[in-house]
Amino acid sequence: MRKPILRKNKILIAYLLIIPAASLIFIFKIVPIFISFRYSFYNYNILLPMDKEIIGFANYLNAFSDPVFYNSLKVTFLFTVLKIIFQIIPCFFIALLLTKKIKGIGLLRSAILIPTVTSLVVVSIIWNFMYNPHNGLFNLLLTSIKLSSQPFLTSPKQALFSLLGMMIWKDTGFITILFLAGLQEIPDVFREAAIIDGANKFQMLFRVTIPLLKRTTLFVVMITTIWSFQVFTPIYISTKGGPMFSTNTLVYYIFERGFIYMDMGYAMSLSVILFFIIFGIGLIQRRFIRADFEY
Amino acid sequence: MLIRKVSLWILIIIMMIICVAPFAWIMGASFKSEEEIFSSLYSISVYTFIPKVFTLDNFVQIFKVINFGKSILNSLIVAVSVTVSVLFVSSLAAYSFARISFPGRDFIFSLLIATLFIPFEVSMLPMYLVSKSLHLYNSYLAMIIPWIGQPFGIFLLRQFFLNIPRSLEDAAKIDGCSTLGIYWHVILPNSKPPMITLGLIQFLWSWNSFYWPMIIMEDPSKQVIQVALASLMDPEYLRWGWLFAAVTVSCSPVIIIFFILQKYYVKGIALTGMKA
Repeated sequence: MRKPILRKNKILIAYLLIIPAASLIFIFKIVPIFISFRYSFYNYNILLPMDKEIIGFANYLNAFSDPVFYNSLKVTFLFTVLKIIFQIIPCFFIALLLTKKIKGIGLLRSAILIPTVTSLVVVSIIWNFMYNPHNGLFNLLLTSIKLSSQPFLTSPKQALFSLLGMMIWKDTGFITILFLAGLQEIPDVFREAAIIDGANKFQMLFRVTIPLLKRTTLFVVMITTIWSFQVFTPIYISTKGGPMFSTNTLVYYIFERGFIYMDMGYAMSLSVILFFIIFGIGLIQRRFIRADFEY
Repeated sequence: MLIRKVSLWILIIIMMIICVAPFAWIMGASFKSEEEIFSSLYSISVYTFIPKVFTLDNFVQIFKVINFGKSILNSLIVAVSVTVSVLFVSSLAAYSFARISFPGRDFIFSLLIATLFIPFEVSMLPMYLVSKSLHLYNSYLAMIIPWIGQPFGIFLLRQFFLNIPRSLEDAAKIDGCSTLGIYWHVILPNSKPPMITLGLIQFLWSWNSFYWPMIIMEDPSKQVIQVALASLMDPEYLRWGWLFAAVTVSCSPVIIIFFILQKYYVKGIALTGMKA
C-alpha cells in the first residue's frame, strides 16, 4: 500500500504534466466556442470594438432571412454529398488493389499520397492553372482531341464540380490508406472460412469484406463529411465564392462576413449554426457506429 | 491471365500519372521563360512538360525580388517550433494519461479529444479574438503558441504509451526511478516511432497551414510560405513563371521528406482510423 504522501505527490505530478497541453487546448480551442456563442448576440465590428452592443437574437434572425446564407448551406451540402459518393467508392477499390501482392504496388501507394501531403494552397494554385480556360492543361488536352474547351472555374455551373474534382484528387491518398488499414485489420480467418465454404470473388467482396468494413466505412464517411464542411482555402484562392455564389460555402461566407465585411457578430452566429449542424450530423453518424458493432 | 495482369498494370500506371502529372506540369513550367510559358498554349506536346529553353531565371527572381527565401525561413521557424513543442508537451500529457491514475483523468482526456471534432473553421474567428486579447498578434509567437496544444498528439502518444510493457517500468522503479525519471529513461527512449510519426504529421501540418497565418500575421516579412504563395496569385503581382517556381520550391521539400519517412506517415493515418 502506497504511503499517502507519495500518492498525493504522484497526483500532483500528474496534473503538472497535463497542465501545459490542457491549458493551451482550453484557451485556444474550448474558450473560443464559448466566445463565439457570446458574441453572436452582439453587434460586433472589429474596427470599432468599443461600439459593440447586445442585440439579442438579431444576428440569428438575419441569418434565417439571408438568401446568401441559404445558398451557402445548399452549396456546402451539395459539395459534401457529392464528395462522399465520389470519394469513397473509388478509394475503396484502390485500397483493394493495394492489398494485392503485385510488384511495385508500393509505388502506387506513394503516388496517391503525394497530393495528400502537399499543401492545399499549392494544390489549389496548380489546379487553378490546370483549369485555366485558355491555356490550362485540361483544355489543352480537350482541344487536342477536338473537344471544345470548358470554362471550368469561371462558369457558375462547373465551378463547384471543378473544385470537387480537385479535392477528391487530393484526399484520395488519405481515404484510401484508411480503407487499406481497415482491410488489413480483418483477420484472415474470415476469408479462409469463406473460401472453404466455396465463395467466389463477388460473394467474397459483398458478403465478407464489405460488411466487415462497416466501422471503417462509417469513420471514412464522418471524416469526409467534416472535411467537406471545412473547404475554404481552394475557394479563397480560386473563386472567392463565385462565380455567382456558386462556390460560396458556409465556411467561406463566414470568413467573408467576419473579415471582409467586418461583421463579426453575424459571422459568429453563422459559426454557431455551423457548429450545431456538424454536431448534429456527428451525432447521427455516431448512432450508426454504435448500432453496428461488428467483431 | 496475362491480359488481366497487363490491364491491371495499365490501370495502375494511369492512376500514378494522374497523381503526379499536375506537379510535373508546374515544375516543368517553372523552368520556362515567361515568353515560353505563353507561347506553348496551343497544342499539347512534350514541350508542355519540358521547356524548350531551360532557364533558372524564375527561381532567381523569386529569391531576389520578393524575398521568397524569407518566407521559407519563416515557415521553418514556425513549423519547427510548433513540432518540437507539440512533441514535448503532448508526450508529457500522454504519459500522465497513460500511466498515472488521478481524479478526473478520463473525463479530462475525453474532453480534450472531443475538441478534435470542432472544425477549425468554427473556432477560428473567436480564436483570433482570444489571441489578439492575449496580445498574440502579428508575431511569430502568435503563429506558434495556439497550436502547441494538440489533442491528436496526446491521443496518438497515449495509445502508444499504453502498450509499452510494464515490466520495463517496474524494473526502473526497483532501481529507484521517480515518476519523471520513468518518463525520461523508460518511456521516451522506447517511443521513437510514434514520436517520428507525430513529428512528421505535425511538421507537415504546420508547414502547410494557411488560414491562421493569413489572419493573424499582417507583416509580410514574417509571413509564412503558404500565404506568400497565395498572395502571388494577386493579379497585381502575378507573374506565372515566378508563381510556378515558388510552387516548385514549396512542395519539393515536402515531397522529399514524405518519401523518406513514408512508412511513418502511413502509420499515422492508420492510427487515426483505429480511433473509430
